[in-house]
Amino acid sequence: MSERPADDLPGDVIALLSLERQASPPPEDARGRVAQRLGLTGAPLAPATSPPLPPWWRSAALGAAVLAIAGAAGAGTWFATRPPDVRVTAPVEQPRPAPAVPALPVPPERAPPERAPPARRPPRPARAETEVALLGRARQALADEDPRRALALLRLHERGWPDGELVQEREVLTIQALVRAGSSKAARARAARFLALFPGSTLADTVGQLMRQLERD
Amino acid sequence: VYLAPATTATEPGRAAFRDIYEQEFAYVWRTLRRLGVATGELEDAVHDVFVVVHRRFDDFDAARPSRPWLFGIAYRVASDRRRRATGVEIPARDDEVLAVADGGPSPEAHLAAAQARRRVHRALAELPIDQRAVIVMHDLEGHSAPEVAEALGVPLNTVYSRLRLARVKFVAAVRASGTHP
Repeated sequence: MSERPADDLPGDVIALLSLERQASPPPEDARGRVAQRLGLTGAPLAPATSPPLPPWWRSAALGAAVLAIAGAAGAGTWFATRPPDVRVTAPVEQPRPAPAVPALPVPPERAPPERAPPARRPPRPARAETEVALLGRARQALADEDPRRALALLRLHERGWPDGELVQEREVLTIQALVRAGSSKAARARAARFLALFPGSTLADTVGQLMRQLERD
Repeated sequence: VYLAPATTATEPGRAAFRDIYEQEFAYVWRTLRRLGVATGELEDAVHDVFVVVHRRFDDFDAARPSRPWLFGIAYRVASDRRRRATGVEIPARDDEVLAVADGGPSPEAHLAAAQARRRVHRALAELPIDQRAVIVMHDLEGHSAPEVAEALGVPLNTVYSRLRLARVKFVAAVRASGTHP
């Protein structure tokens, strides 16, 4: 088969494809809206709102290319402040499915001390919800100081996308939610598993610092 | 998860991500549209693609063409949406198909072009997404078969066989759409 595009197709079909190639560009306002959601407009880029965190967690998060997942409604930004480093000379690693993370039991979470869990409906996946949107909801639940809901949403992601594109982000969110829920032992186990599964991850430093801090506590 | 503060940002990397967004937004948009993402979901889908691009940016070799890499990500995002969609796929709106750049041909030619594009979209919608992807990437965007194989993560021979099957179905679907405008 030749490499020239569409050379095996009838002439009238080639003509149709040629017309499709001349389709109009996407609307500029769409480009701007998506850029805004990605945090690509304005400078410096403001971090998305986040709940107060203990100093040790804050320091663990520093320097990490972590995530700010925009929710389904478009709240928040994904691309926040630390951009990825462009690796020019390293061998190319093509997009690939992330390894499925085997299920790890998560014990029942304790309600955060001095705070009654808000009465909310159990989370359900929205119709045709994407993994980005679902993780966005989990992140929002953390921002709302509701780690139990966040964990429930993260379990939905784990069931729906065991080998999803954002499996590492899910794991880090889960560790954070376990910490917030007071499940230190489960958080440590999850963190150890993360480091074993993704030793070269850009999030490994964050998890490593978090794990060391958990060991000290 | 917490965000890194602004002080950790490195301007070159940030600029590189911004550059790829600016340069390839239109490519990602039309790729997703051709892969069957409904008009009303395109912005969300483009956003999801660039979220994954950002996540995987360390894997990106700037010395190589970015589009096969982007196509692979867009393909997975579109496939994911397709798996989760419960309704019937909504083809591109007529007004979107009808839209052409300013300074185009006569109204009659404009209409004919719009009708032709509608036929292409309807025919693409008849194909399974894996076959649709090879038609879009190879026959519409002009990527080579090895690039298609790389983007979709399949052997080269699979690309050739899939393209052969896809073309047969695509031509049949185009013919059928021509008899039922």
